[in-house]
Amino acid sequence: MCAARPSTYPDRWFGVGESAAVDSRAAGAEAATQALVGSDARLLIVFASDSYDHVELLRGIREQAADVPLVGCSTAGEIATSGPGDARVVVSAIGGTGFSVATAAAGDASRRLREAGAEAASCLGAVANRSSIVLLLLTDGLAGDQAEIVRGAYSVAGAGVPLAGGCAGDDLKMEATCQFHGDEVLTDAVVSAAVSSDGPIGIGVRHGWRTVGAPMPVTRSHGNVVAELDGEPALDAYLARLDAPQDARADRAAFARFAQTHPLGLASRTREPHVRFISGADFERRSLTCIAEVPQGGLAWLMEGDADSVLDATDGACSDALAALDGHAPLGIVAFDCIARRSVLGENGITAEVEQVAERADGAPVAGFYTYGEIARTQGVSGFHNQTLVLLALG
Amino acid sequence: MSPFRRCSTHQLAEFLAAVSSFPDERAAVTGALDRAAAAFEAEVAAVVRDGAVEASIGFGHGEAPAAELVVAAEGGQQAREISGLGHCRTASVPLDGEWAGTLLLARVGDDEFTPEELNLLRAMARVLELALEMLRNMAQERHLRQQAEEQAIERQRAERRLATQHAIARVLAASATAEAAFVPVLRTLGRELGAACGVVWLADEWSECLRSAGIWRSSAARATFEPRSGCARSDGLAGRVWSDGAAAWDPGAPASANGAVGAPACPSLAVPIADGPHVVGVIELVGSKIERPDPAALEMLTSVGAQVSQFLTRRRAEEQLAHQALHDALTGLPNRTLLLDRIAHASERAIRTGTSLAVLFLDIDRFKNVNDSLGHQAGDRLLVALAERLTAIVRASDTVARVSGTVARLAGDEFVVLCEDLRDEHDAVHVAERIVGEATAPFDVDGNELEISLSIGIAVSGGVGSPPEQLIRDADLAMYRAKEAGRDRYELFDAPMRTRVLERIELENDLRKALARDQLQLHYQPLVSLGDRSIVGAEALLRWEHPGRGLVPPLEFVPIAEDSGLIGPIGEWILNTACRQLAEWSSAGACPPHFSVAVNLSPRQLTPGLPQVVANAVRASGIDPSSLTIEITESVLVDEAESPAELLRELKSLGVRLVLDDFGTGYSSLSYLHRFELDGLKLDRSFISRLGHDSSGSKLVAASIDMARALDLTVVAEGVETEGQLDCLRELSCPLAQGYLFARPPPAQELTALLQAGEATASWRTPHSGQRMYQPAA
Repeated sequence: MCAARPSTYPDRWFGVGESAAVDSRAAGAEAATQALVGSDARLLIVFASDSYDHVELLRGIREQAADVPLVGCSTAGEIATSGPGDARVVVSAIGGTGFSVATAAAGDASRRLREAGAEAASCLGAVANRSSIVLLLLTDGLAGDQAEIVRGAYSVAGAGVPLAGGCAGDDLKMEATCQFHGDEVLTDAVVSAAVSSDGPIGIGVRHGWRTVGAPMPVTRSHGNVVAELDGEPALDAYLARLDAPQDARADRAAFARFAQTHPLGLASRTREPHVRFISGADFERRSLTCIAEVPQGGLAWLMEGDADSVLDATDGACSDALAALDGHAPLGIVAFDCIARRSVLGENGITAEVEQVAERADGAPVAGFYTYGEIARTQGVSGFHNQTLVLLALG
Repeated sequence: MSPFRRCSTHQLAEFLAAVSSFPDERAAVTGALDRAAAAFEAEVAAVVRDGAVEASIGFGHGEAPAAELVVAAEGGQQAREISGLGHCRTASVPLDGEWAGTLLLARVGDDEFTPEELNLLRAMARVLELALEMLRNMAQERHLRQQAEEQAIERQRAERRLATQHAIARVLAASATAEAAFVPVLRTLGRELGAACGVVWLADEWSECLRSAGIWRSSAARATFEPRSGCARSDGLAGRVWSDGAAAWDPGAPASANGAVGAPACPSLAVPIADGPHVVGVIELVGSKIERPDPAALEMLTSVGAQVSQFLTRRRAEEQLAHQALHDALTGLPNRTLLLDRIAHASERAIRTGTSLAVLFLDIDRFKNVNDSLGHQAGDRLLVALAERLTAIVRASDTVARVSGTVARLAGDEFVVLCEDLRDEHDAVHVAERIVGEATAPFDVDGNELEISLSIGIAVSGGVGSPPEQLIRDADLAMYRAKEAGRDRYELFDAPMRTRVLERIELENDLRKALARDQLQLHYQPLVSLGDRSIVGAEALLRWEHPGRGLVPPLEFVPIAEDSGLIGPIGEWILNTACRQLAEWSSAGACPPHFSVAVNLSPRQLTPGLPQVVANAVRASGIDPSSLTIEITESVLVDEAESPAELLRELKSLGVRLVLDDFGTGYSSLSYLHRFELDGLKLDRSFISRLGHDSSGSKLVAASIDMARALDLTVVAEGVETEGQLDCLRELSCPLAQGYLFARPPPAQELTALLQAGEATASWRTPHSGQRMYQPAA
């Protein structure tokens, strides 16, 4: 299947290819062939199911584009123009003289999160100056506090360079994820691509969760464990304020189901609160465990949502991303969609979501993957999100 | 209370916790900027101080617009354009303490900082000051603690080094040999310095090479470390240290010690073995953990090098002492002590292996001549040269005949060769023959060509372990036997030889007693003038009547007297007694005028004291010195060719007469007669007995008589036993004779009677004694 669109900009093109071939090498070759719709490819972005032999897969891709810079990662599900799916490989290709690309990889990330983020961002120094720029980051979602990686990248990129990307997945096995850089298959790494363009680049970040009641101060927290909200044990405050059903108050599985649609929101002055996915609760200590850091002293909202609100967010994200393009149709869109949103929306919901994005893209190809955490920084310094959709539109 | 107000306390607590968690101030400042920017959703946070940006976030590396930020920091809350950000709202609050300056935030857009936010920012600045101060204090504390720990570690290290030095000193003190000392020394040093292996190199100045004298390898290094046996001066670290004389460390040179093919380069450390400037060796340690030594470690290593050097010096001195105690200083050969030890061990081995061993006792014939004529230094050089030859011969025997041996020097010119692994005595004889044949080739000593001969006695111990001393004694006896048998030969010891020796020793003791107890007597052989058969003189002959054995033949006891040194006092007694007797005869008018007495002189009596002894005898008796005749044998002149000349001249100057005895038996060189100013000669009985039987004997006697007459020498024919001989002698005009025809030598009083009778006749013969009493040894 080929999804590419004739560019209105003759010096820039974007192509997406996909393959569900069982043979890793063949799948890589097939997807790459489809993605390479133009000459002078500048970057390949690979999102591949954890089920593949990634070394063979890359070999298959490299057979089609030996010297093109390559970044990518393993996923918890892939997104292509054709829709969401699993056990596939989706390859996007960016090409043409209007793009410049430089890539980097930083290993051993869990031991030096901030440093690895800074190291990955160093490729910014090697990319040509053009009218717009973005730093694409693909990280190991299991490596630790992703906010530190983003801080590190920000320390190098500065406020002038937006960040976008996501955390690699492993089909929810939560064992190990892979990052791709050139011919290498890495783990515990941050890979990055600095992309500068003569055209516009837009980023949309939305989650669609609604706040419930007034915000509560986080009176005691340590890392990703919230012990107290507004002076009360966090679990008690959470269950009481949301009037949680009885089974969610005692049964872990029921709590997990309930929490999927009731994340925490960290106060933001001007935008949607940053969402923190609640991954579990300690019924004895009465604490909540989140997927990322919840700073003590901040304000937190309890949030709720449903398929409709989540899909509303998709629309909002598209609008935000495309707004930067001044009404021009995009060359293509890259989506970093939280695996938790996939759970909320269900299979039909995600199909509808991708269709919605494709529709807003006005025929431009879409590529993406379901993530273990999303990265988007356009304002302020915080750029790590949960249960959020990040869309990167290339104009 | 607004939620923000209630929040700020917790937020500040979190801010403090986060900032305090950084390891140092700079990281804490950056972390604080991260969190402050996040709290206020600002893109930029910075610390501005003294007109410069100390730290910032929100700009790429080196891209912060410093001048704009400095200006913004001065202005409190403002709206302004900042490069890279565009339109911003900024807020700044003062920062006190070490980082005194301004904490600046910039937020893109037009969203003003609220008064609450400014309050929170001020509070954050205070918290940051506190946190930084705390970090600084902690850093100082840490620094002090670290210093204290370092000092403690240094102290421990110094103590350990001292312990290492002591351990090495103990090892060196307790080690009997260098080999035993080196491995423990290397192990101790190696463990202290983390080495995997080590080598003690000793310098071989002659070959300009270091030779490995001790190797230590940790168990892990055995597979990878292949020790080398030598290394040149230019070779590796050890060679360099040998040349430079200073300890050195190399982080990755191929170790001079490791000869393993493809061995990876490895840090190594080498220290000279030197007590002062002279380097006698190198200690080299190799191992991946060896670090550059600090001054204290270098001092320790240098001290160990000196310790080992002193140890080697001490060992060398001890070895030299031990060697001296067991070796002859002149030739370097084993001495008697070591020889006895070797014989003892060889005996044990011989019994175990069923082989024989032999002791060869060697003596240079007439060695005294060399010393007397060329000096003791030449004699010493001859001994050294002979020692070398003997060693070479024994070594060759080892290779050729599988006879191993030891050459030793006992004293003077006495050598012993110990031969082992012999099948029987023939093997020993073979070695002796080789020595007699090969060791006596002419020697060049100080430009003099010396020919020597050796007398060798062989004692073989076959199967029975004879005591070492006994074997040497036996060989010594056999050697004397060889001397007796004419020198330049070897003799095998046998049991009868020992019996004879024991008898000889007994006889010697008895002779000593005889002299003391006046058991010796002189008999007088008349000297007859052939013209009128009158007695014109007498030859004093010594007789010993042993109380138990009866009359002892002179041939038996004279050699004993000569060997034991008794010849001196006996000779003196003879001189005194004979002179006194002559004086008695003279004063009693019992003898004719010009009557003379002849005394035989043993070569052993020819000592520098002899003239004095003779002078005393003459003076004490009051005789006319010219009436005393001293008879010497040809062998004296031949043997002691040079030295007696002066002595004989001294005797002559006393006025006594010198006569050559036994003329014709030896070299019969007429030159002696002239050279030594002799007064006469006595024709040996062997010529006289041939008179009338073969013409050549007569011719020789005739020629001798003519010659003597020509030289104005007196001639005496000895051993005249028949009238026929007497007739012949008369025909040849021989003036004087003595022999049984005229008389057997009677005691003094009997001769007195004969003198009174006035004529020597056959009736004088005494029937009971049939031979001369005193015959000097050949």
